[in-house]
Amino acid sequence: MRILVALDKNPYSDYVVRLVAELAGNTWAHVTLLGVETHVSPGELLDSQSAKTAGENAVAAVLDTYREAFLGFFGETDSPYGRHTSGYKLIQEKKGVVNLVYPEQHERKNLTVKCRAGNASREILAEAEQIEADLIVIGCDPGTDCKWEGHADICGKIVKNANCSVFVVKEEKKPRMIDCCLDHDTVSQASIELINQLVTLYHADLEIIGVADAKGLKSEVDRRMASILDYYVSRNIKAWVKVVDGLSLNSIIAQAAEKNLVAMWMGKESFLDKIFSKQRLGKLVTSAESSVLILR
Amino acid sequence: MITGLISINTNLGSSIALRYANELSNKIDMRLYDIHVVDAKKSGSSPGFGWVQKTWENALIESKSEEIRQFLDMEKVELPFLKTPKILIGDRTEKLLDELQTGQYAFFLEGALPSFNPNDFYRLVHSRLYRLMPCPVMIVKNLVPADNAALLLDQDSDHRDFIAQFVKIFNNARVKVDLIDLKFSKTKDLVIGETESRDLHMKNADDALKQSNVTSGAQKTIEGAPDKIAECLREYGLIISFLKHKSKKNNPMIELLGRVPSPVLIFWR
Amino acid sequence: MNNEQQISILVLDDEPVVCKRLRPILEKKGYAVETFFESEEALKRFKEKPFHIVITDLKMKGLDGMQFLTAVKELSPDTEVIVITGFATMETAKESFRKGVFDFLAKPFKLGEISDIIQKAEVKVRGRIS
Repeated sequence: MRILVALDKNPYSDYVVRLVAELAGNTWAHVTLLGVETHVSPGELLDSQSAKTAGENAVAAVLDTYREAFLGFFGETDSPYGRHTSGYKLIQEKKGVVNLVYPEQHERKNLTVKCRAGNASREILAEAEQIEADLIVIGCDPGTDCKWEGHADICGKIVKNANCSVFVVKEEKKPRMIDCCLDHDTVSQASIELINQLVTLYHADLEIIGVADAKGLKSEVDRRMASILDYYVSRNIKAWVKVVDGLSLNSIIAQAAEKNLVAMWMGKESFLDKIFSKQRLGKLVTSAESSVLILR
Repeated sequence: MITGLISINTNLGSSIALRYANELSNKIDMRLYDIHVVDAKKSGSSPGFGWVQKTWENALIESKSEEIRQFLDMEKVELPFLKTPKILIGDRTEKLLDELQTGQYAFFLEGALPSFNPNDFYRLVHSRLYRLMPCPVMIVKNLVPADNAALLLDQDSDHRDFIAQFVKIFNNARVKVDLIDLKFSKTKDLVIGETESRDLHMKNADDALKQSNVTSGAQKTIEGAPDKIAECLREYGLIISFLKHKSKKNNPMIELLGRVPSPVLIFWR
Repeated sequence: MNNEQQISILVLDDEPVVCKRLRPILEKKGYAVETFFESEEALKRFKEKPFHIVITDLKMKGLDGMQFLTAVKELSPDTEVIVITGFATMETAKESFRKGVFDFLAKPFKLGEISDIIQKAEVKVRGRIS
């Protein structure tokens, strides 16, 4: 499993790091901590991140503190990410991409820290593609337009355009249930596996929510829900089912998200993709008060 | 031994209902029969009358029987009587009511996926089928283990008739039943407490459990809003309640039963 | 045994999709692959013929992946075992390594990721048999 963690200097990134550390503690995933320097050109990135010129405010320096926090979650002996070494060198991977390279850590799994220069959403998506991420985790403030380092709607843009699942983290909470909304029958194995990891992480129940249109629940959605339910029943995992009218999905999500984690299966066949269109989906994610998981 | 009737279709609701019924049959001494009504209206109009119509209807029944048979095979139904469902053609409500009245079933069971909107449940219990239902109805919303049940009571209820109905179904049932005295209010948080054992209605219900030789569990009071109580009852594998056929939309018990995700058994008053 | 010897891999996962995905990729890379959905059957086969590399899921009916890993390591300590799991916990990861697992991989993963691990396991196996 490969997790890309997009971080900025806002406080929500602190609990994004904590959440990913917990998830990585279970899954021993390869983790990439990524920061994006939006105010410098790719050619100037390496120089701009030097501690001598930029000091503690450089994205690289901030990423270094996040790395410390991440590794702090693990004991010295049990960490799949090796010893807590400090002091990094900035090594340019290519123009506009700089790696923070630490002394030999003897790690079983990779913890990569890197900084990119450019447009935040574009760079995050490019990194996700490069590392073949299974999940992008990104934080933002609840109920706002997802201002991320001064740029609006970064999360919405990532959610709309990512090829993998995206977890938009808005608050630190332990959901008692994961509500997975489904309106089509193409559900990837990877998305089910990701839910399984989150169910395990949170010790949460699972609720499969079928989204109905004006004519009711489509038979293919009904069948898919049945097969997902079968999958969980055969693994002794408690899974509930429910139906929601697509038109009231927004308010239902707001209601469910108070205590639960809302996840949505998006796909080419998804009616959610249509009812939210790309803009509306982004808006739903950015305006939600709670964390949202978009499954692909 | 009691007999129950399950209405089936080839969907998730029926799949859940069948599996739940299968498990319940290990806990309650019962024999279950299944029925499917081919909705003639949804199948288009008959190409003619007399023998033409009869032939058309037979063909419809045959094709639906095959579909249902495949569905039951997939569900790996173990109960022998469920393997040969009765297939009828016509208006679903009228056919089911006919069958329930002539068959003298102890209860009717069907699957109905829960929705976020409690009005959907209100519409269901106010449908003609439910309004004229001659026996208790079990609405299976989710596939949960039927090991423990919550029997809901309220201060206004006259439980004498209910006791007779309860005993009929639950005699020697291997289900642990908690008695829950409900008080609906708008308090923000639920207030859960021990019951006053001297309360007459609670004592009557406890007697019903003893009479049925059913294991009685906790006795508690829960006070709060219907949505909060519904969440609290999620832990139960069956919610047993009674309801007036003419309950109004704003009846908190309707809202509670609509919101609770577990299967619900309704005794009519 | 020599470096030309074909490396044998046993894949055990009760989710047929995993075996279905892995088998053709691994065969294309030249490995001799056998897939199993049930751990008892896989163990029976392993007793008949030890494999160089074993890829096993953890959560399975009957003999679970951890028990399977233990049995494999007892029968053939040189076999490299890669554990894959859809329900990962810190404890299962640690326990796997205590039992001598080569790597621990949580689902979902891309085929490239498991291919890299298998390749590393192969290097270790070949180092031992050369």
